[in-house]
Amino acid sequence: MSERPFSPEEFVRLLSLPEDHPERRHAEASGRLDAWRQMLREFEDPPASNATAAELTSADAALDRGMAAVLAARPGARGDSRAPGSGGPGLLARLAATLFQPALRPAFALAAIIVVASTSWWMVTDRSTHAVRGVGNESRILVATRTVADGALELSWTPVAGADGYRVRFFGQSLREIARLDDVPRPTLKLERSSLPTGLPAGEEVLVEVAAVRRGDVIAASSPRAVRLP
Amino acid sequence: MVRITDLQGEPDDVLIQTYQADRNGARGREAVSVLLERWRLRVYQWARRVVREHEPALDIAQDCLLQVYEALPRYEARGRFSAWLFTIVHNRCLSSVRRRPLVHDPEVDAELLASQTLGPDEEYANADEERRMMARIDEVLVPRERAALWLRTVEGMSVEEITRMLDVDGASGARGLLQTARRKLRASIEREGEGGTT
Repeated sequence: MSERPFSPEEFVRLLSLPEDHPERRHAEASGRLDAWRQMLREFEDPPASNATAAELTSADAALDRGMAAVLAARPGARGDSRAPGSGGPGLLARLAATLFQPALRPAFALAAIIVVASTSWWMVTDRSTHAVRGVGNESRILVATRTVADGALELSWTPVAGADGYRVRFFGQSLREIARLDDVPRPTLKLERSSLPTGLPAGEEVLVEVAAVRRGDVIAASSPRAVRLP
Repeated sequence: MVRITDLQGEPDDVLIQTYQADRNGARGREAVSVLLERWRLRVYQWARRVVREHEPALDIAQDCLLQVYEALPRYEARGRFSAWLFTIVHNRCLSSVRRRPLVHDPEVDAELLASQTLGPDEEYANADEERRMMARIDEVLVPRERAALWLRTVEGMSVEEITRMLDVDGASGARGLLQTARRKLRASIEREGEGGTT
């Protein structure tokens, strides 16, 4: 059997051909096209992941940072002036991508730990003034969880100055949104087993993401965080 | 700052068109952000599944997303974006998995690799054998058996994964499907051998 993989354009084109087209028929003969179609289905709609929730959270945050850096670098590194197909990305985009190479991740991880630890300490020791002070223009919200006496799960997060409210989204293991609360007025949310928002499966692990909203704009957001529902 | 807009619910092709029409503007930037955010964890999940480790999967996902971002200005929508994206990701995963032994296997040295290079005659014979095997597979196996065999032998999927992917019923799952496929192929080869000797 030929192990040559499809090129992106080839696979897309084959899928769009009628089933009795000779070229498609030829690709079907080895089972390769059907196999790829099945894999595509699972790529689009992944089953329960073999990655842990912590890995998913970490991956999402890293990819978010990486792509944000690339997009932020774009105005100065725009490929618009280059001839079409003239090759690689701009210098700043490459630099941004380089920043997220594995060799530098320990430094990022260490920095993240320091930020999380210091912010957590600040939240614990200075809660009374925290709500007033907010986090200003910072774009990241940190989410904390704790189980309260009646078995409910309490989510709390760093308040954001100027926010009209908060949007809380929940994602299942397939990474599809399974529930959302659009108008949470305060930076805290209590989830009780007996009155979970529609769509949330009791006792299951889900990803939660909090965003601060002002006049329809998201002005700060958290990375997705894995939580086990009550 | 990410803006909640009508773009959040737009299909991939609309987001790409929006980006291509306004690459330097806020709307275009918004569109590409929504598109990449929509797919980034799926890209990671697929890479994680193939390479089976977090860090290499993250590397692959970042490479692929950057590659996709760079290619989007020239992307021509002739089918599903997800199929195009998947091919980029899966090919990158396969090259990573197949490259690994060359990087880490101390038993593979340059001399051995050089001696494995095929001459023109051997290449022709291999291609001919491949054509005959393809014809045999097409002739004796039903589509599900072909797909199962491909997933197992070329893509390296586990029997459990194939069972789920192909929705195979029964206690033995895809194992039974693969056994049947191999039995059919062996029988076909034996028949041809017997035919050749008479």
